[in-house]
Amino acid sequence: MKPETLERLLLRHGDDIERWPAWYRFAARRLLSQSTEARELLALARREDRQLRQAMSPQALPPELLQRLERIPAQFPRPATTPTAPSRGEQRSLLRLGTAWALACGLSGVLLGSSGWLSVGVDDNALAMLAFGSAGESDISLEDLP
Amino acid sequence: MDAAGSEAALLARVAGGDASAFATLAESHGARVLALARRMLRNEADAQDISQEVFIRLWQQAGGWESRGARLSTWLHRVTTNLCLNHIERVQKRSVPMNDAATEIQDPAPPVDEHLSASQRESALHRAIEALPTRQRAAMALFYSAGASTAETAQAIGLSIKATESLLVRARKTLRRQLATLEEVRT
Repeated sequence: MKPETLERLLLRHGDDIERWPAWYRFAARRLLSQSTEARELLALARREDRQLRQAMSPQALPPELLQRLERIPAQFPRPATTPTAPSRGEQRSLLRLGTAWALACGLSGVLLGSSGWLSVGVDDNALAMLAFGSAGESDISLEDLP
Repeated sequence: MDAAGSEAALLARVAGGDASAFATLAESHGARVLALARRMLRNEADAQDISQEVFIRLWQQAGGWESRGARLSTWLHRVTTNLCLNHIERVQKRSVPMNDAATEIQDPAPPVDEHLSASQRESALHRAIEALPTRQRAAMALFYSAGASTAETAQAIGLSIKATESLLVRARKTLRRQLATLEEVRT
């Protein structure tokens, strides 16, 4: 390794050689033991990185923010947990209930339909209007849709 | 119990609804989350709001936390970075378009003949950091303020390690140039 390489590595990985990839660490240590220029480069990088660390060191949490964070559990309840799948026994009961309900609905529909109670007086023209709409009168355009 | 083990135990308690364990985690990680948000947003109120949002997510999602070797801090930093980037994008859409170059301070270096006090040098450095583009600022804050490794920084920003190294190199070059100028002024 040459001093120029060390300089590039200091820019890429910072001044803490212990955190460098193993191969670079090994080569850098060897260079540092032999070259004054390399040691000066490291000293300069350390001085600059120390200043950067100081400038960016986190400050204590402001008390009002800490209080806001501590209130989170009371203020923001967790969303309901995902429902678990029903057991086999529960599945059989639900299936029986669902079948009975569907049969009852079907039978009621047939009875009401045959008695004529469900007629609402909608003619074919009105249904066609509803189906195709009228572009000029529509309040909602495609652009309004989410 | 080591630090990772005690953190996992705290997280398990948080998952079980323990508010005091949550407060402990908020206290130990809050300052770093806030520092990162401050660096990225350059606005105290927004940074505090984002920090709160990060911890709301922690509280609400703690039950589904699976470490798989990842540290909680990495997850927190990633959520913070994403929320900040979304916030910046929203603000930029609302206001006059501005890019980082436009906000860059013209010449953060003071006149050479001026004798600078320590606090003036410090604020010049702060201005130089704030003038960095958003992702460079985020990378620097994660590396120097949160103590993240390059790999953790990359994970938090959502970039490859190579791309993150490139961000760090550019940011360091800019700031070291600035520090060298400030050093020259002092001598």
